[in-house]
Amino acid sequence: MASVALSEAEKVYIVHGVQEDLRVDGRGCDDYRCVEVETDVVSNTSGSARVKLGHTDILVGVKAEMGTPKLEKPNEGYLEFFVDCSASAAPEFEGRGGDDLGTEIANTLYRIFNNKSSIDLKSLCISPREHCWVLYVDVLLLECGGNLFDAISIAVKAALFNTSASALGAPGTETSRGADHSRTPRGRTLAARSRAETPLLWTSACVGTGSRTESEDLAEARGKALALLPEPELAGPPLPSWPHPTLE
Amino acid sequence: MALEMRLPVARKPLSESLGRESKKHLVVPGDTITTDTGFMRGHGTYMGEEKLIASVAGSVERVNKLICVKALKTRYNGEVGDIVVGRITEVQQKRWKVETNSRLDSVLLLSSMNLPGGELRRRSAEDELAMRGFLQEGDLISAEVQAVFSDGAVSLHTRSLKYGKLGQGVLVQVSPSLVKRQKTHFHDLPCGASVILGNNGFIWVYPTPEHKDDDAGGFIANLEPVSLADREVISRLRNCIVSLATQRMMLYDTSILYCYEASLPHQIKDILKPEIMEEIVMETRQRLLEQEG
Repeated sequence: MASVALSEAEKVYIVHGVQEDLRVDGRGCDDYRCVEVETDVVSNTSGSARVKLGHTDILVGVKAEMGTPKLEKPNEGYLEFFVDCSASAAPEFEGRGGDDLGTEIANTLYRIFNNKSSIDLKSLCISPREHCWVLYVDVLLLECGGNLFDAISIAVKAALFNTSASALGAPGTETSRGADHSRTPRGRTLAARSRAETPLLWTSACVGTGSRTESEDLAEARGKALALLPEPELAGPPLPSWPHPTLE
Repeated sequence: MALEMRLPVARKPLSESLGRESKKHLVVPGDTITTDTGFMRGHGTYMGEEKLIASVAGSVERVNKLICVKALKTRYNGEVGDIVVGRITEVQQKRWKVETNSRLDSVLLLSSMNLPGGELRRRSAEDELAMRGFLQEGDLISAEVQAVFSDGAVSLHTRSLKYGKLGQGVLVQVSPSLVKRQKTHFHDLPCGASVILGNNGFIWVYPTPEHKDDDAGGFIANLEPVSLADREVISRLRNCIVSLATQRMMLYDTSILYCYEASLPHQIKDILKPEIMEEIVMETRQRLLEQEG
């Protein structure tokens, strides 16, 4: 996320463009760049997806492992998110530089998936209080070209959809007594629900007096990310904004 | 809100579909260029085991007895007389540091800059203190290369009224090897916008000014809103330049103009889609071949 200094005249040109609904590359204020989505790219994961949005490149892998349910939610499995901003994405991510951004994105993902209508966690339970599926979702930032939140949410949604039925329903040798692993519909349920109900993030930035979505790297301003869920009343409060200091 | 999702598709490069009469001799680092020892070695080559070996990836150029390899992807190497578009990164004592996509930041000395009003006098201490009033960090300028230092750093000057601070417009960054060397790099295109093709790969697209201000010397930027029709022309030109650069075609006024005309049937934001980009560039290439032959 290299911030580029712009001259006053360029800033004025961009702000007037947003007000007239014609951005620098001809898009309107609400248009997205072209998105390329590919699933099943990583062979040793249960599900994976790769999303390219302009110059932004995100790779998500989902690994399903057996674990113990949390004490306060004995009937549910859970998800763990980890976001890695690799140094090849932007120069400032070198060393520990990308950790802050990674933590913020992971916290955002935890927040949106905390909602019971985003994902059916009960379907991840194998036997209450004893065994459940834990989905470890790893997000890797390969290239940073603006609009990370939206691209990551699309990639996570696609990866959860791809998390195959065989991974969640396959009989394993370390089964415990009474666990019924022939219930392959579990994986299908997860896929069906993530296709329909997993939320997506939509980032909007304020430029001058107008607003625009899906900003590129060059002129991102203060933006707010909203989680879009199928039922709008569960959208919740807007997530904290993440300022990019090039435009006021 | 328009959102288009697609699956990735492998695309074959366009250059295979249109034949070329003379194939360029392309080499990669480590390739043998020739075993003939009669040649002098130029840039991008070295002598190893009685063979001439390439050290960069590019095309081999031969002038009589001199062989050199011109790299395809490289930082800008300054030559005296080139026009460049650069961005001010630092304001130092008596000079500005300009970023021009080269290995070292270029230098613009205070004495190489025209004073407003075109006066000719020795720069005083007040001029030094007022430097930030002329050019600040982030400003874009067009300038000409005056000299190249021994370490490769480039010294610029704006000693003509056509150079100076740039106003409203759009900057496109491409590889320096794609900008064709021509007599003039400032073009007023008939479609309604003007373009400056910097040799360093920075291309500036801006609305054509109605009248040329001679007094200002290019320092006072016009901050009035640009009309929507001009904006559309500028955005379309910007997308055409990006598509030509993605398909590795040389950039000069004719190619940009043909690409603009080929893109008119499409919407501006559709030009960046891969299949439409290929179609437009293919049409441009055919028109250019017809024009030459």
